Amino acid sequence: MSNSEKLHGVLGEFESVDQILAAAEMVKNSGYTKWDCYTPLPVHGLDAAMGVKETRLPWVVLIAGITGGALGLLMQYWMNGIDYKMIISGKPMNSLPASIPVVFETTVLFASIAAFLSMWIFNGLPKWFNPLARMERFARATDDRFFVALSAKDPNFDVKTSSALLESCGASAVEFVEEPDEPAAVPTSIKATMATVAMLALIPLALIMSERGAIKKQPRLHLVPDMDFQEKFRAQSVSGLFADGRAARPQIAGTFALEDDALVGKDPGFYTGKVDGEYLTEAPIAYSDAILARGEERYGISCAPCHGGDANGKGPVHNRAVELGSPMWIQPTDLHSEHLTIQPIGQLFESISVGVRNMPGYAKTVSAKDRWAIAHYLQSIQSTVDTGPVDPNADPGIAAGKLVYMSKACMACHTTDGSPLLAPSFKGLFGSERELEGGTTITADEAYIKDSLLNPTAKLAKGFQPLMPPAVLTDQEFADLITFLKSLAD
Amino acid sequence: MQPTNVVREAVMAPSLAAKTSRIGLVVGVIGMVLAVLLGMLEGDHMRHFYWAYLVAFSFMFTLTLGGLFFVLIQHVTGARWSVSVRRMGEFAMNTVPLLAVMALPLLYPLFTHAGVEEFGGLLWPWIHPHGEHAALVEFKSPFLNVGFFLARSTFYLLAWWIVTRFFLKKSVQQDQDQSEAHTVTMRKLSAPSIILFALTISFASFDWIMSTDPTWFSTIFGVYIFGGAFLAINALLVISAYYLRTRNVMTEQITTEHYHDLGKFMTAFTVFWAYIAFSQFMLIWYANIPEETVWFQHRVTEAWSPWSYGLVFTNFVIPFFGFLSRWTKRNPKVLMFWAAYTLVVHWVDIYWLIMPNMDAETVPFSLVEITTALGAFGFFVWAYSRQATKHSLLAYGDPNLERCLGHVNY
Ligand code: HEC
Ligand code: HEC
Repeated sequence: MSNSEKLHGVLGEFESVDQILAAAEMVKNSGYTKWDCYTPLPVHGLDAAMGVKETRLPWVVLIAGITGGALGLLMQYWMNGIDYKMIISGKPMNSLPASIPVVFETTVLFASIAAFLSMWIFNGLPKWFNPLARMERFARATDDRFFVALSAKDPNFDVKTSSALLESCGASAVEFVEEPDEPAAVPTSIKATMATVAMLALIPLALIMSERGAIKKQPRLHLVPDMDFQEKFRAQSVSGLFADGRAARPQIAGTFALEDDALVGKDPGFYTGKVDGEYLTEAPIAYSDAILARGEERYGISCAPCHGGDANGKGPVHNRAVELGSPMWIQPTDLHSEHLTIQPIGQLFESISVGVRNMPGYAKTVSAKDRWAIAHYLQSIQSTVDTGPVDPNADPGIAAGKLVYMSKACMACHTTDGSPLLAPSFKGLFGSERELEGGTTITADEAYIKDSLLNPTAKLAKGFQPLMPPAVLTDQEFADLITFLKSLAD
Repeated sequence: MQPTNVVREAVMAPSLAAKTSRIGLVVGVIGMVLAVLLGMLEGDHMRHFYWAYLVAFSFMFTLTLGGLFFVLIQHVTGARWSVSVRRMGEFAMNTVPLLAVMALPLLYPLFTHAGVEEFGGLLWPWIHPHGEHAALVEFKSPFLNVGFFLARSTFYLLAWWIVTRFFLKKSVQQDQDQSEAHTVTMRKLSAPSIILFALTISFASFDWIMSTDPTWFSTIFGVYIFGGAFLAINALLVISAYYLRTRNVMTEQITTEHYHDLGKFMTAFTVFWAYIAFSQFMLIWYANIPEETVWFQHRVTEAWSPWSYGLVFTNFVIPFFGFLSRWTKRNPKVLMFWAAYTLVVHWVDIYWLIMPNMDAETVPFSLVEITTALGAFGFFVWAYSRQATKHSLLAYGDPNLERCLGHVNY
């Protein structure tokens, strides 16, 4: 034994299970707190003999599990209910059953990671070096000898009494363990290996980062090609199969959705929204809270993806189309639009049933009763729109013209605030000099506008695509439109 | 620590066993007689009685088969901890003859024409297809017809009888000759027996329980019943152990460690039951296909929805937290409470599986249910404990007995 300042502790060797149990009992009773037993096999009852307290690990695991479950629930609540509201399979935005599997997984994940990490922490791991391991005798701790080691850090530790204690417990040998003079250097080979492994571990990460960030001419890896590239037509996309090029097929004139087929003759108003060519102004289903709730729910399922939860025409499908920069995308109509507020409910019903312009009909997926419920819902949200004060001196033709602009869907492509959308803005259009494709110019007078409507692609405005569909207006509508355009001329 | 000198001798408690089985028999007879009388009073051709009886019968069936699985799983895994409680599992599984006798009254609803006009039959609706789904049920008649149904049921009972007899006999033989060869044979045969078990318990649940709504189907149904069955047998073993030890029998052989392990099984299978129940529910709920949802539709009616939602708490949340702590599992009194609780809610679960198919609009719960349940359980206790008059309560010939007695949980 040399300098006691460098003493790590004292080690006692025992030969049997019974001896180590008795020794542990005695050491415990002598008030030691920093000491441990080393045995080659699990010795039942050793924990009790040593007075090891029950572990707190279960509590950590319990709390971590509950936290994991709660976080999993919160995560889904936020994703599905707040961040990316999207009705899936007709389920409510936040439906508990759908969240349970993930909650289960996060609970287990948190609990098991907590168990693993706390086990390390409670055991003081990782521990790179233990001076005991340098004792020749100690090697038999993995074979046929039992050891008790008292640490020199224990307040009760004393060179003489501690070794005497072990001897009195029946130790067959007692040895002092010293701290190494200076910590042994980690061998270069181990350092090199660890450094290499650390570097190699970065490679997958770097590859992922570079793949995520890079712009590629070639497609990325597609493991399940028929899932990545499904045969389908996106909203408003073009199909070569039909003469009109529309992928979303409008309802064929004179046909009805299957459910309605047999019934339409019995109650045309209920199934078409029209009686003798006139739109119904009263819905055949009376307004009630239940109907309204049903309409809201069905709207959420069938319409909100395009028209948006707030019905402002900016649903996720629209946002996605804008994000992708789809050149020909027509924004779904803002359902608070003025022109819709004056539509009879029968017309709304018809739009929902058979579709309108670029929008397909929904009679095939939404029952007639539900379509009426949605129509009621649309009217109820429209009544909440404030259309602003009406200028009593304004030309009534302007308002009428604006309605034409809206109801004939000019607004889908033309704005009135000067910003070009798919088409030139109507702001300052009337009376101005227009530049055409091919270099000529022309004044935008009534004749030119009439011409543009009937034969839109004949004279192409410079820098735009030949997209505009021909529009047939009555004389009155045309006159109103011109009044409206004039009001925007300055 | 391994006990160095284990005394290998039989643990016999013939008078206790005889007394217990007599009590069981009395409760069984009184319960069933009362149930029949009460059933007759209802003036519904005993329809209510037969449905309640099916619940009680199914409850018994899960105890018997739970016992079978408990024994098989010990053999197939070569478990050592369980040697001291395995014999009780063997007693529990060796009640197949009783099950067969208890099945006899169910022949009446199969063959009678009583009640066909009023209710379309007394029990399984596919016997006399009726109502708006008659065509659908008719379509399944190649499988769901009285003859084939009887043949299958006979097959299950016969198969269980052979397997349970075999495993009990071997184990008892080992008591005498203490030969390790028996352990090896049982281990080898337990694997194919488990396959047989899985198939028969599934199909028996389909036939006896699921077909009370013949339009509905769920392939996980058998697993659901299995989960409940295993939970129930562990509860029964804890109760039996407690019962014996408080009467100074098996005090040395069954220790805290065995309670702890049975408790762990109950914790695990409470979760397993919930996992399976939820798996069944979620797929049906998500796909929302009418022919599948109808079953849950019948269970969220005004009458049944408290029962259905209650089940989530009574059979999962409450017992899960009840069982979770190590302290519970090592405390015989507390564990005994949770075991009894588990048996009761297991019955509640089976009731919920069957009764809404009789009537989705009302919960017919009355004395008929209570008396049939007590009657069937009484008979079961009779058949279960009677065996202890002849056989040792401890499989003392098992070569792993030392390991079992010295078993310690960390
Ligand atoms: C696939 C996307 C999409 C879905 C889904 C959709 N719409 Fe539309 N909707 C549109 C587009 C695009 C327009 C504008 C069409 C145009 O101007 O060519 C529109 C226009 C409308 C209009 C205006 C009609 C008019 O007279 O100006 C109404 C009303 C309407 N939608 C109601 C509904 C309702 C109700 C539903 C649900 C049943 C629905 N939409 C579902 C895309 C959609
Ligand atoms: C599908 C989108 C679309 C719709 C709907 C549409 N237009 Fe156009 N419109 C265009 C495009 C693109 C141009 C420019 C190319 C051209 O001259 O054909 C254009 C050009 C015009 C012009 C000529 C403007 C100029 O600068 O020379 C007028 C006038 C016009 N549209 C009026 C209307 C009116 C009125 C309506 C409603 C009845 C309408 N448009 C509906 C796409 C549309």
